[in-house]
Amino acid sequence: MVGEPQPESPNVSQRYAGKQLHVPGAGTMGISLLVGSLSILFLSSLIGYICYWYSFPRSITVHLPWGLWLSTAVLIFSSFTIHWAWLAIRNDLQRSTRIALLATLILGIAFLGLQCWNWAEIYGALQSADQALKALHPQYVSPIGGMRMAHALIYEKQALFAAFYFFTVLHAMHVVGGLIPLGVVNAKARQNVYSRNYHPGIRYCLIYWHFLDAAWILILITLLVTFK
Amino acid sequence: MSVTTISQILGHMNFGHTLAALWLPHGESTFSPPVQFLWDFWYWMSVFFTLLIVGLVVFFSIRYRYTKNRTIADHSPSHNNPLEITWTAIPLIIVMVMFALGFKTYMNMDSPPANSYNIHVIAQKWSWTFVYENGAISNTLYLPVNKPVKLNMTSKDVLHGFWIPDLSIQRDVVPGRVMTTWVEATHPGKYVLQCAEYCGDGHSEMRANVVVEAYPKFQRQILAAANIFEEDGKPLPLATVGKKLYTTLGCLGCHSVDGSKGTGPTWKDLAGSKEVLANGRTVSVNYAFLKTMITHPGRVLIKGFPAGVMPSYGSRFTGKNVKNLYAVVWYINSLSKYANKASEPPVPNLPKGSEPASSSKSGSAAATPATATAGAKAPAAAATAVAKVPAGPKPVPLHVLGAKLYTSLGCIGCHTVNGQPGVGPTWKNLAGYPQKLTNGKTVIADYQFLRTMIIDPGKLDVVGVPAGVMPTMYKYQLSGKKHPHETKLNALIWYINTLSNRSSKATQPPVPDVPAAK
Amino acid sequence: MTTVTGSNFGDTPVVPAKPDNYLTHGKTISSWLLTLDHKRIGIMYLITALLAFFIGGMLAEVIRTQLLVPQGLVFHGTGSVASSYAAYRYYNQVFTLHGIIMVFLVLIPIIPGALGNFALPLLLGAKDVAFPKLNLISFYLYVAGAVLAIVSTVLGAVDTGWTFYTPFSIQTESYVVVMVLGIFLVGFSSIFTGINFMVTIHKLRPPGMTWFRMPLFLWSIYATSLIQVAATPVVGITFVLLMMERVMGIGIFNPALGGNPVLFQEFFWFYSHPAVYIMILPAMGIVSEIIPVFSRKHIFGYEFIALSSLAIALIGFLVWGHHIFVNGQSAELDAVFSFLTFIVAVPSAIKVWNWLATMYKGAIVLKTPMLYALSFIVLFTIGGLTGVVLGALSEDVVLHDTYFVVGHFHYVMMGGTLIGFIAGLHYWWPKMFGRMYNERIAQWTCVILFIGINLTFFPQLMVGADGMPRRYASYLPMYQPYMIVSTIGAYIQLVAFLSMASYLMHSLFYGKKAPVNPWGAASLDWETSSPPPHDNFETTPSVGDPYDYADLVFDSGINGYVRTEKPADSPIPVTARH
Repeated sequence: MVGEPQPESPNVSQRYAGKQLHVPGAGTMGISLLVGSLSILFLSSLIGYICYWYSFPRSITVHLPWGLWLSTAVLIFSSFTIHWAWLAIRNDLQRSTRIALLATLILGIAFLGLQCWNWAEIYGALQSADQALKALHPQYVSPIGGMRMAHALIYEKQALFAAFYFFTVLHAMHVVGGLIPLGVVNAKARQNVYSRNYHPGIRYCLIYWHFLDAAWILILITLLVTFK
Repeated sequence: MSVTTISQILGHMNFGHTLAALWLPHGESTFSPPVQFLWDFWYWMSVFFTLLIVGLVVFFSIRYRYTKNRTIADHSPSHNNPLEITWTAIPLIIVMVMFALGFKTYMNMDSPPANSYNIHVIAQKWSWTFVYENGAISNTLYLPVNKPVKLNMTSKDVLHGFWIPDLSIQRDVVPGRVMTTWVEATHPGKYVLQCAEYCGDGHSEMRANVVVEAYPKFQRQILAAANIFEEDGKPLPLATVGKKLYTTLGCLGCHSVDGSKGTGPTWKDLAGSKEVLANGRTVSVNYAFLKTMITHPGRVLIKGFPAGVMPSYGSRFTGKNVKNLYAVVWYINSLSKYANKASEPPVPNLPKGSEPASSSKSGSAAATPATATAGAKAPAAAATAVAKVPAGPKPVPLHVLGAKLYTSLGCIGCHTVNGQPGVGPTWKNLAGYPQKLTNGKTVIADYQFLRTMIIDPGKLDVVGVPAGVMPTMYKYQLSGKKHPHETKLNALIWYINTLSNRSSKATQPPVPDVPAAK
Repeated sequence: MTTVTGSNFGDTPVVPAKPDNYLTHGKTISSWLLTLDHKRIGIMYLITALLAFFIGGMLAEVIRTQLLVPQGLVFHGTGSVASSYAAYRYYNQVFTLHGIIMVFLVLIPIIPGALGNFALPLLLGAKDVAFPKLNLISFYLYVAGAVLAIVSTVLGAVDTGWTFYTPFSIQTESYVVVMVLGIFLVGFSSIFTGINFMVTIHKLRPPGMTWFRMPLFLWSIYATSLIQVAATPVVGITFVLLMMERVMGIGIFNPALGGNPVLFQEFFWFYSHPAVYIMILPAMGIVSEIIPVFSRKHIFGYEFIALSSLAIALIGFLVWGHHIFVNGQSAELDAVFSFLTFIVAVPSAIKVWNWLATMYKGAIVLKTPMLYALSFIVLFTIGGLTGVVLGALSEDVVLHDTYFVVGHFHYVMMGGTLIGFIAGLHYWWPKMFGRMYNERIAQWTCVILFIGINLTFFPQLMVGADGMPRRYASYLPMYQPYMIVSTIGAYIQLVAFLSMASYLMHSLFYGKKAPVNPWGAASLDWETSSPPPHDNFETTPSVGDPYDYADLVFDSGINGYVRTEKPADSPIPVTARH
């Protein structure tokens, strides 16, 4: 494969000095397995949420903040930029690679910022849903601590609240987990470490970033369906 | 509290049985023969294969052992596909036979016959309570012989496992839903019910006796069990009744009566003493304090005892069941040397005279301030567990029948009657109040609404009520071809009406509460 | 890595053999703690897991002692019911901790972590695993998880049972969150190890070692890794949800908030049933290695053993529902799970028959590893057959959550996984430490352990069928005879383990020097010196049939096997010579 790291690179062999040579294709396979494992994590939580959501009546309408569309657009765009970086390095275009990688990093951070804004928005929306419930049912008790609220009315709101934060925070944690190696790759690209034949870091980030994208779209679809 | 006797132990050691029968208990229900048959099949199959494999291991180890003259294996092939297929196919056939046999019996276990007697099983940490069709409550499970019994099971707190080895039935009791199983015992006898699903501190002691008797004897038993406030027609001192409740309601799991440490505070010398609260204040343990601790355990926290451990007994001590509260508090008083007027309940320990525990007497109880609940509307025949099936010419009001059905049909497992939250909506102030549907509409809980909710719960989705939890079986028990007059259904709705202060013509059933005298 | 010696590249000549080996390669503490050497990481796993096993084993002895008398010998009340319930809580904490330690800290990591790490690259003739750093991270995640488990026990021991069933685990006051976080970390350690091993097997097989010429231990590790990578994230997310349930009350598993406690069970067992195969498959791989070596005969039905590992791994994903037959699944679903459960029993049977056929006409040496492998066959047969009856729907109703289940899975876990591990430990011990242990004492220990295991767990099968539920701190007096025998068996096991610990410790310091190939095995791990050098192999080993023992002869001078002449073109036919 073209993008595979080559054993000639001195960086790699030194790292394994005294041990073995860098194994062609091992890193790509490793990151693919990790992404597969994490996909199962996302899928199973989505399935669990849908099972739960199915068992309670869907009466509260909470509108998702429109900022979600913005963050979605940013994330999808960042997927394009990292793909651009990969194409650029395969043609040995160092400058383009650096720009594309930096753009991805900035877009990733922007995505997290937008998500913070969305979290604040949905918090407000659920507060007003709380008020509405209180007005409708005088016996409704506001949740305190969450552990001992047995009133049936609460859990629906609780569940939507929990689902939104659970999935977005879970995804955001994976974005943070991707931004750190992306930062490292950015720094390495500035030192011209990567070449047309040797760019494992970019390749791994590419696979991971596409996974983040796919996971986010699945989450968004689930939230759109269940919040109606 | 074992019911085991020496004869039972000897019964297990009966050498007349086959080797296989030494394993499973001698089953005494209609499920037992097929279960035993499959067990025997598996058992002898396993004995055969285990002996074969052990035999081959030992034989090969000796016959083909390594010696000085024999240091390498004899020539023999290292693969043989027909052989592989053979020893794949034989186990496959055996397990498929086992699957088919097991599945057939299991489907039978899963479908209770229509003519079953219904018993509601309430599991909680760490006791079992059984509610019979006549409203009787007991801690011993009485079962009739040769009559199918359907067990509707609910849990008040965590998972429990309903497990009677001798009757070959087991079912987990999952909180938040009604679990069902059924059994038809074939021999009279005494057996043990054990909790099979781990449930905390007292799990290993969460047992109940199971008594299987001939049907007439069974009926007498549950009639006697129905009234805990009397013995031989004479009223018992409330403290004695409280002592019974201490066991039957499971208080003994956490509260000792001898001063030893338990999950909750000991009851010895509790009444009239001083307690330090979690917030540092010191209070004296008077009647009002005890009442709060029993009915609303979360409201006041005693130092050293964390919140959330004491189950909410809710309706078992309030409303029409307030006499239980008096009984337990009298019992707590009887254990304390500090007991005083302030710690005693507002009713005397020994009921006056020999009048039977029926309407007139609990009228006096209703007069006390503690019973200012909607339940007081229901005449006192429904009080506690008094369930003498009214005989004779005097017609019974439908709502009284409804109150009994409330326990016997198992509504009690999910719906409270005092406004406390439960799995389903509380029945207090339900009739006549607006209900919000999930489709956004708001409807008044009138007769039609209540009827639909009971017999066809899937039709309407009410906000806050989880779908699919309410059983659908009531349609067949209360309505349909077999019940053209829907008497029981009307009785339930009448009962719900008595619990609401907005009961009106629209919310009441189309038949009068008190049937016209014949 | 502070010190680096030897060659960087496989194709350049290596410095001639010095007495230096991987154990003496670096002497500082950090040369151990920060090592990237798979063998040292394997040894560190071994020590940690054995420490955990010691704690878990002691807890087991406490459990058995408690059950000597019906009201409990260790934890019992002072007369009142309430006081005995308070005492039983301690028992509940003990069996919970026993389960958590044994499952998550011993059974799951011990074979892949300790023996897999040590032997896998050696079996491949490789210098290390594909990602040595990730390997070290895995180890420290495992240690961190173990530390959190200890922290949670010190703060307030968990009393939920190792299954953490909701809603009890939501309500109990103990430190469930800390414990679950620890297991979450151990889970990720497991995922990383799985990824590492899968990539290693895919990418580091030497030229000539095709998939169907790999040693069978590699096949079983591969199948195990597949499960680790695909199933562990599910339990990870389940435990995250459980933590959120406790901290924030999100409601998904809490019936009081409309949640579904059975959903937790589905999620939990979706991992924890395949986890059973994570535990047993590597042990089967070890047995598949040992039996041909000590029968001096080529393994029988290689493809069937290899593919049955994969079949178990794949079908094993679809049988989780058999843990919850009586918990209110629909009967139709129960039937599907029961059917698949019976199907998954068949590949295990295939393995047993093939092992027996391997012994047929062999030249069987009853050395300690072989004795353990034979014990494995017998104990696993009992464990497997008792599992078959639990898969039958109507029988599960009368056996679910009884001591029959306890006996069944202890036969499989203890008689299977642990005995397999001990077999492997004795098999690779000379390679690991370069010392031989006292063979006679080791053989007797095996016999005592075999007796102890049967004496412990067979009465549990009987008492369970008779109706005694599991997780009971006290029981009906009629069960006492069984319980006494079971406890005696547990004490016998303790004696055997103490004996094993002492002769193995003795061998570390006073044992005879081990030859390169003491057992006459033909796989690559026995081509290098005992213990191996830091770089594993001084010259690249050539790949042959790992089960061909024809040209290995015993040399009494070195007390080990040597290759007589290299056949002109290996591989030679699989049949052995007369």
